[in-house]
Amino acid sequence: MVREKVGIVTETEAKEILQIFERKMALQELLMTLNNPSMTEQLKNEVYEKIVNDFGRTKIAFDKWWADTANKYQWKSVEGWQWSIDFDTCEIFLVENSKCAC
Amino acid sequence: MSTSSKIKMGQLAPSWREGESKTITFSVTEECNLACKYCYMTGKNSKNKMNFETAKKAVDYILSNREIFDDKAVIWEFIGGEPFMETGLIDQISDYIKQQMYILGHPWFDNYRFSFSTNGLLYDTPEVQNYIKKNMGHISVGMSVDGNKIKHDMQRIKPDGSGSYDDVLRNVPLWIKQFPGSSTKATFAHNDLPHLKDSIISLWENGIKIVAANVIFEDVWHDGDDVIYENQLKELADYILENNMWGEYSVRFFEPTIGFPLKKDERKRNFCGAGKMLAIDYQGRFSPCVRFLDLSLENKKGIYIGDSESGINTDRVRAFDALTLESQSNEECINCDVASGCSWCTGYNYDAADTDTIYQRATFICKMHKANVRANKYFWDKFERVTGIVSPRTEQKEQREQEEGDNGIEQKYLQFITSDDITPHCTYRNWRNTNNVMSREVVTKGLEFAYKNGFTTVFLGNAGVNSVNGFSIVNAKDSNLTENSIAVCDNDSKLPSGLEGNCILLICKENLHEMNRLIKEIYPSAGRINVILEDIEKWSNADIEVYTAQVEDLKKFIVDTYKEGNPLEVSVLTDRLNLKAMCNCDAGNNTFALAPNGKIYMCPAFYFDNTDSHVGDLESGIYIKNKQLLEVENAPLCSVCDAYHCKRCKYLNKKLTGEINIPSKMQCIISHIERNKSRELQQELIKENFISDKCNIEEIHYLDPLDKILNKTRSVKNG
Repeated sequence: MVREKVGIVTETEAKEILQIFERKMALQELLMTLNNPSMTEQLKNEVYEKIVNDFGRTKIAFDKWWADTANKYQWKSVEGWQWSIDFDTCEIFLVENSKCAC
Repeated sequence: MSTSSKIKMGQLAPSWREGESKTITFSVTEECNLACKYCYMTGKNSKNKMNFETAKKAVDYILSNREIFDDKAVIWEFIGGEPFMETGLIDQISDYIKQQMYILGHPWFDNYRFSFSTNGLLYDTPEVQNYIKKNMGHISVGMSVDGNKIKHDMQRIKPDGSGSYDDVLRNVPLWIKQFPGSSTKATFAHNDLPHLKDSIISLWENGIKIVAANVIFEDVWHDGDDVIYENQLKELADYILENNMWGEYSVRFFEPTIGFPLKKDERKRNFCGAGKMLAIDYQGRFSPCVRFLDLSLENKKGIYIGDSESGINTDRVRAFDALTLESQSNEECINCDVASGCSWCTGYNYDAADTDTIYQRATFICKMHKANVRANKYFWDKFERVTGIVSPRTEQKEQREQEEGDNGIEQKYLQFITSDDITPHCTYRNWRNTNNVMSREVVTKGLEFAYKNGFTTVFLGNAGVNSVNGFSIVNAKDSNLTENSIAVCDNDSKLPSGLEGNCILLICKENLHEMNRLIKEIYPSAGRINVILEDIEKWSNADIEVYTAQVEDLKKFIVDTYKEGNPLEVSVLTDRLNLKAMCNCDAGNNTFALAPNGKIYMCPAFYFDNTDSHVGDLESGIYIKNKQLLEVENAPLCSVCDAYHCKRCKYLNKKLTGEINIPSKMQCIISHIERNKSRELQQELIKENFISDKCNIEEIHYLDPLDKILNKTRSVKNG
């Protein structure tokens, strides 16, 4: 994978985005449980609605963290690439869009 | 030498949210599609399977009792038998968990993982792959591959007896692609030890770069297994270094933290997670760990601490919560010099215990652990020689020494009395005119004993042995002095030309008045001179006067050497400047002497005085009765004394006062003359700005600490 290190964040900042990322991922995977036949239609609809709203808020928080933090540290950017974080080292990398997990 | 952060060898894959997460294990089936020979689950069967309702009740109980399950994160683990034989059920349970965590607004929704230990046979089936894709962001999968084909197929067999290696290996590339950086647990038992080296290399070659290998805890080990194990590990060590693999690959056997004495805090901890985890069996019963389920125990019934209906019986968990290393281990394990990294399984301890207790640690793994430690040390020592990089093991050792101070790692020495006519290096001499010489056989056995028990070897006299990990103490006139030798000047000053370093100077009563002259002649060849005063038991008051004059003169000479820029250390005066506690005779604590007769003594003085005074031998090891009397805190005079450099010769103590922990009056007086002269030396060196004025030696008005004690007693009596 082609990637370039462009910066580093504090541990607190890394924890913030990790928490948002975990929730975003959890909501995405929760959505896939709704075709479970053991759930009533009513419950499915209620849960679906809640997930969609929650996912919207989480996505906004996710994008805001990246925008604010990139602005704070003035990270290099390239069109068609996006930033990625290594949660173990708090390092920020520039990665091709299709190859980024976060 | 420099340190390097690029060393991967010995590092294991980090656990997710270690210390913050609760592991909850569903034993979804007791059936397995393999019949591994060493499997601890001896009660596997095809009939006991969990149903969804049972799992649902457990999930409801756990999620609705946040006060009990208050961990920040959770690992929902699925095991069997083989868990992927019940993938449909697992999928149903996983969905329910996710939905309930979300609906209840449980903090675990943002902090969870699903974890699997699989034999890998069903890994590529559509059912398993669909499940993985559905939960990809939250899954960890450990796949058991034991090594190369011979080793794997020897243990991990199918019910028909055929090996499973090819079936598993087929799925390894997909597994590594989906979970890069995953590790495998390779388990070794008696039969497969000869394949250890090739197995680990094979795993690495198959892309599994981290191998959390271990040997089993059970009572399966035969005589000689530790030798095979050690040799295999050493060959693996050589292979790693020859191929520069330490920066990319890892195996647990070379974890740099293995093989040190326990730190105080480590004794108070428990290294097994039993009790902190929760296992749920097919009937919905709760257990402290899967190793306490009925199917995992051979000799005892399972331990269950509750169920979804009645909740957790906290009284049944208390014994697990209170477990510490100390409370479940015997004295030998607690005080073992290489205890760190020696592990156990509380479930197996319980199964193997004499009574129904979890507080009896099984120690069948002992000799295997010690073999691992020797090979581990071999690897990292050689690593330093080959790469010039400070090893993480050395860093670990230094760190532990810093943390523990005087309670830290102490070097142990085994002195080889190579013959009865050796030049003494301490307060002993052979007056019996015996002529025994240590045989080649005793030397060989002694070296083996020293190696196995972590002793550094010290050859007293010239045995013609070139010990890589030790040194020798020989007469300065010996033609075989090497860079690993300490020279002894026996009442003379004849050092070979060109010799530099430390030396020992023996001074007998008759030569007391010559002490200073000899020291001056030996300087500057030796930067440090360890003075041994012989036959002090024969000293008179006149000798005390001679000695006092000698140390006064010596003090002036030492100051002069500071002024010349080449300061001399002489034990009797300069040691006290740097000591903050007693630092003296180590006999019987960490230093022992092996005599030509194959017996072990506390020191050579005991051997030369009485050959029956041995404290052990090479076959049965060392055993000292009333060993606590060797400790300073149990020496009533020495524990209140600050003549920290004092020889405190245990042999002379016993000989002159009848007790090993009580010094003679003459010993105390000599030490206090030296101590007080050290104080004067310290003041002069401070005045001349050669040393700082920290830790000043106090002025005292006694030469025998017994006076101090008796004065105190009298003043108490007199009110």
